[in-house]
Amino acid sequence: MATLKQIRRRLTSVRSTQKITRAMKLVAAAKLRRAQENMLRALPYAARLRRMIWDLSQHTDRAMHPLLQVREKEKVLLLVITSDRGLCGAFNSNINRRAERFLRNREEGHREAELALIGRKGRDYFRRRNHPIFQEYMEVLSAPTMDRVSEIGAQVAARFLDGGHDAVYMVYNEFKSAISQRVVVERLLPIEPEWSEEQQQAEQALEGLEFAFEPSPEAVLSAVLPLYVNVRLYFAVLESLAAEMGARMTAMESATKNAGEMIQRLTLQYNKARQASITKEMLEIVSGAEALR
Amino acid sequence: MTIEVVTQDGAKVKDLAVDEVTLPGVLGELSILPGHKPMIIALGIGPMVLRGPFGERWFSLSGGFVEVLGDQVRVLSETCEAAEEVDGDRAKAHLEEVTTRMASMHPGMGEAWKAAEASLKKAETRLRVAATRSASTLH
Repeated sequence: MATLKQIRRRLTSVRSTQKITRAMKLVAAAKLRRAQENMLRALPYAARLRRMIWDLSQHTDRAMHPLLQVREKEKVLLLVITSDRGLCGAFNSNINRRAERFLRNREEGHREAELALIGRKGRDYFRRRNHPIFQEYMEVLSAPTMDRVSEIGAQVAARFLDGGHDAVYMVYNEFKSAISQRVVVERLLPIEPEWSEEQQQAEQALEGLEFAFEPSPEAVLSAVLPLYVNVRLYFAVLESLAAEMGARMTAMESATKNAGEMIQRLTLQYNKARQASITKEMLEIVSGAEALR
Repeated sequence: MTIEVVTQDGAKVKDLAVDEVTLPGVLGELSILPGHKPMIIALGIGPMVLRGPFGERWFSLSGGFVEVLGDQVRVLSETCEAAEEVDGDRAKAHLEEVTTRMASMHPGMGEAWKAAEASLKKAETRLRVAATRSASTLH
């Protein structure tokens, strides 16, 4: 049985751990709000751009731009977005496991795959496993800006265009809500013009309309498409950040709860031990007095 | 006709009813009136002017696209600053800085020159846009 002193020491330590986890939860909650705001701000831009690409793809020849062309998949790039810090539950291991599965099963029917890593946790994981790494992009997540992400986008797109990669996928945590994340794998390149149901309906009303492009359809396409790649990448980073904060909040919340339970148990144990020692002392005194009589 | 301006920082103008829109197209300034045929046009750096029941509103715009479809004008831009938002003193300081920087450069420098030219144009546009604000307060 643990001595009173030992129990007391453990109690103090669990209490201070609880203080830390509670503080981390609050910090994560505040950061989550900021990350969500960032996402909301970027959302209309991404949506508009997607719509514009759809309109463009309807009125131009698909073969016109190399970023739209689907090629035989010899070598692909997988962009893995993890977090820089831990203590966020299964957030990173889910991503790393999913990426590993993608590589092992050659999910896209590719022959070779390289990795591009955003976030320290993914880098550490894949470095240890000696997977071929194309690029590591650190110092992105601490302050994600469109400029910084655009540099990554430009580099990835350039490699795609010179034939180094035949397709680019990204795996990241999609932000479903503050308490739930979903790992998704999406194709970044070649670009697939997307449209929603309602856009399609709007489109039908406009059928037969001729669009004018200035300076030329080609010029507009080659300006829009790289931008779209950057915006999608930027949005994935923002989503992953929001998801990370959500995951950390949940993890720290349950850590705080667990610490609370442990404190209760230890307090009970402490009181019992204390009572036992008092009883023991009492018995000793009483029996001592008895013996003197 | 309604206009919407969206940047990476969110919507700057939301479904505003206008009579005329002037935009800095890459091939030169263009004006859009109601009933324009559908088009998608790449935008350069320059002022955007909205005219409507509210009078005239100036914005400093850089890069992006405009899509005209039916009676909807949708602008997608890298940056868009309303005249009220432009910091005139900062734009002036920036203009001076770029001018001195460009004095020691020449067009043969390629990318760097182009980037400097773009910042020069941005600074000029912002000053021009800021000037419309002081003009309107004088009235």
